[in-house]
Amino acid sequence: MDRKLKTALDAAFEAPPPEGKAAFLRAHRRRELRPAALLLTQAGYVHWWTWAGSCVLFAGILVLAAGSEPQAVWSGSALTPLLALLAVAESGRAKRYGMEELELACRMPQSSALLARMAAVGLLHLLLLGISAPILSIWGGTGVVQTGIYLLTPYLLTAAIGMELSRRVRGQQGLLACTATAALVCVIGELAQTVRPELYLEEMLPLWYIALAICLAASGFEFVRMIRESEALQWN
Amino acid sequence: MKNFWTLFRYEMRKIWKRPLLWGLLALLSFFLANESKPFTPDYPPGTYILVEKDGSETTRSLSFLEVFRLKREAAHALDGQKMDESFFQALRETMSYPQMSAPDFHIDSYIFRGVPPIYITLWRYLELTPDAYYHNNGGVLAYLATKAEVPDYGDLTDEELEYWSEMEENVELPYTFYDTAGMLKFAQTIYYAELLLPLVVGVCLCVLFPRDRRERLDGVVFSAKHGRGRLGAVKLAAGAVSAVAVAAILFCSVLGTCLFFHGICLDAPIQLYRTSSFPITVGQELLLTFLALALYSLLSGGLVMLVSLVALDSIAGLAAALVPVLIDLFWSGSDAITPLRMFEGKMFQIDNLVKIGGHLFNYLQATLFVLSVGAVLFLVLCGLFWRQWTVSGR
Amino acid sequence: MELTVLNLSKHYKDKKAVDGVSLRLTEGINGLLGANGAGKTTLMRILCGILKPTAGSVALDGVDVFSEDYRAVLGYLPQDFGYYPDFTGLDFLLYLAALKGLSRPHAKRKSVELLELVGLADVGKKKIKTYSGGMRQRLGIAQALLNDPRLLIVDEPTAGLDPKERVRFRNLLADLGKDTIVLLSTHIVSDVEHIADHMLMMSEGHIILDEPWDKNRTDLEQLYLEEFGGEDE
Repeated sequence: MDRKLKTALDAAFEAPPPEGKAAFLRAHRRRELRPAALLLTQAGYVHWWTWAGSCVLFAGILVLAAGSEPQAVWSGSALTPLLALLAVAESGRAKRYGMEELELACRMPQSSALLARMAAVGLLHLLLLGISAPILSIWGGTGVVQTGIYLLTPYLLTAAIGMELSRRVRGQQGLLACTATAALVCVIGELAQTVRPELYLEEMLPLWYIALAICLAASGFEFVRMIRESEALQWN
Repeated sequence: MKNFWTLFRYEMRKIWKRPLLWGLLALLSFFLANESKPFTPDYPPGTYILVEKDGSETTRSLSFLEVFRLKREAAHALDGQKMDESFFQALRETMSYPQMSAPDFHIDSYIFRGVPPIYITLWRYLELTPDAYYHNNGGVLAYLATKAEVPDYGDLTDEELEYWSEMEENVELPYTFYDTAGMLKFAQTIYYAELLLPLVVGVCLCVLFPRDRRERLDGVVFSAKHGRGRLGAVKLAAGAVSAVAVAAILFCSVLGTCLFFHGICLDAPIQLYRTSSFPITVGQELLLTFLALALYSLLSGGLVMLVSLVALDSIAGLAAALVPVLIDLFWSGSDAITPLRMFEGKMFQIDNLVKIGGHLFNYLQATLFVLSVGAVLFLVLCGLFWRQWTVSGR
Repeated sequence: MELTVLNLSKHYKDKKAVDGVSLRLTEGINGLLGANGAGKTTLMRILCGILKPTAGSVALDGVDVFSEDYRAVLGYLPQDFGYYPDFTGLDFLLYLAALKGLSRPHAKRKSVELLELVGLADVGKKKIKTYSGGMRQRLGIAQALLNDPRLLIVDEPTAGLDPKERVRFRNLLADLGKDTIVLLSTHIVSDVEHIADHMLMMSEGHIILDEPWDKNRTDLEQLYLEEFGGEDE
């Protein structure tokens, strides 16, 4: 319809009051929640400092690694626990701010919302680590796979311990415990270069594979548990 | 006054009755104790041929602890002797070149012939004369000797060398020998304690100020008679005492383990293990190290309390605690004046001096001064901010 | 429309928070009264599907409580709830609307409408941390109505509201009760006395009163005291 005509009609005639509006809306307003739309919507609700912090840490990893050749990969990997901390902190945001109950009573299962948010953050971190690994491997002279293992292991270790602590310790204390864990893993990772330099020899690589597998399994287990427990209140 | 101590007790309880803090302290104390204990491969259990003082030989099976005990006895066998010509004469006559791959020979030559494992390098064991030893282990002399061989080594000016030489005149010669394995291990491990200290202090103190607000008690607390002025002083006092307590716990973890496993002789001159001109003993070095650690803890604690008070957020306070840790970890420049470099031994070694107003100050003085000023500054700022926040409006 | 609760129980070690509760609720205002610790909040949380019962079932017209379809028509206002400090009132409603599956344009229209309804239109773009307690409560009421619920569960909804707001809210509930099942838990007798169609009383995990209520009755407080053994005045 011509816009001018539409405007003129609107001005000339008054629309009759709606009848049965509420019933009509109830019957027709239910829309399906597609996974992609869910992911995008929830990604928008991830707190801005999770995105900003991740980018800053990524930059920090590259800056530190550039300044510490040939120990590029050790210096860089010391910051990955802080990246994991951002992810764990985001997962516990609803609980920390007392929004858990409200979100649980909504149509969208909280587990889906949480999964979508964690997927968004996890994808970003995977991308950042995926970009860091080849760069650090060139600077540090280690293989890409080896570098990836050194970057991922402290990340997954922090994530696993952080998720367990978030489950057990409620509120701000839980986040405090996660922060302390991330800081500890960060410091120990950096100290290990001087205290136990033998850990970074080629011969120790099989041990790193085992450690990575254990951390991956633990993180996976904790993640599944966290999603399952988000379906209902765990305490009353 | 009575109220002050009652409030103080409650604030201390609020700080210390947290499983997270105790868990972290236990974990770190265990880590530090583990790093302070002897390196197990140095004391392999097995079958040994033991040579007694009278020359007779026996074959015995020894456990790790027995090997460790025997080595420790030998290490302290010559404690208290003046390191004069007769001392070195005895060493030249009885010392054999250590075959590190043959543990029985190692114990054989080191223990029951009464020869202590004093720390001399491979090429120096031939120079067992007082002149050679003091030339290479004295403060200024050792510096000059190394400088002669490695021209790039050090950059002390003549004025600085004169300063150190004057100080060295007060060092008693000849040195009195004491085994220093314990102090070496202590010096190596205390720097880990220093590195981790801000993290523990952060966890300890980050909840001190924000907690009332978070638990919605600030209205009740601030409307009470002592809820503003006095409570601020109590919280600062509790925070300061807790910070020093954390430093003491970590310090004692390291010192206690070194004392137990290696033994530490408090009267030993520090020149036995440091290229230093300070006329102090091991006991005095330990006191000064604890003082520096306590001041660093107060400075970190003050920073944490200030940030958590300004932001009213315990995570912000903990993040502030990580700043000195990250600086220590990643600022690796050799001239970096970070707490870590100080605790690595820069405080007691012959090094460049700081010139202020025509006077020379060494790193020990500079460290203690900077830490003291920093700690006082942060604590005063905390007090001012508390006053501004609670008294003049929130 | 009928909410069917069959033999519902929630046990914690040796404590029975809800013990064998069976109910049938239809459209209208269903008041729920009880002493502190009676199990009202636990019951309500189970009816919202956010707490798993030890035994029993809950269904709305045959739709199980743990299904998405049930939550799609549920509105819930908890007794105590938090907020993300950097959210404005409007952000808060839009966020929850997204979780309730509303499309963005609908969510926006509905949010503005509800802010107007609860008297927060002027402060909708201000951060929640600047709101008073009563304003936050009104915001909570607004979020419960976002998805035009057919089952509305409100736990102490008038806490923190001034008398004028309380009357306004009562009238709103009375209006909603015409075609919605409303379960209203409160300690304030006057909130429920003149609008309830059905009265429930709960004590120590059991329902001790479950009967239709005449809105013209004025003896609810006396009845409450009789049921719970109140002191002689």
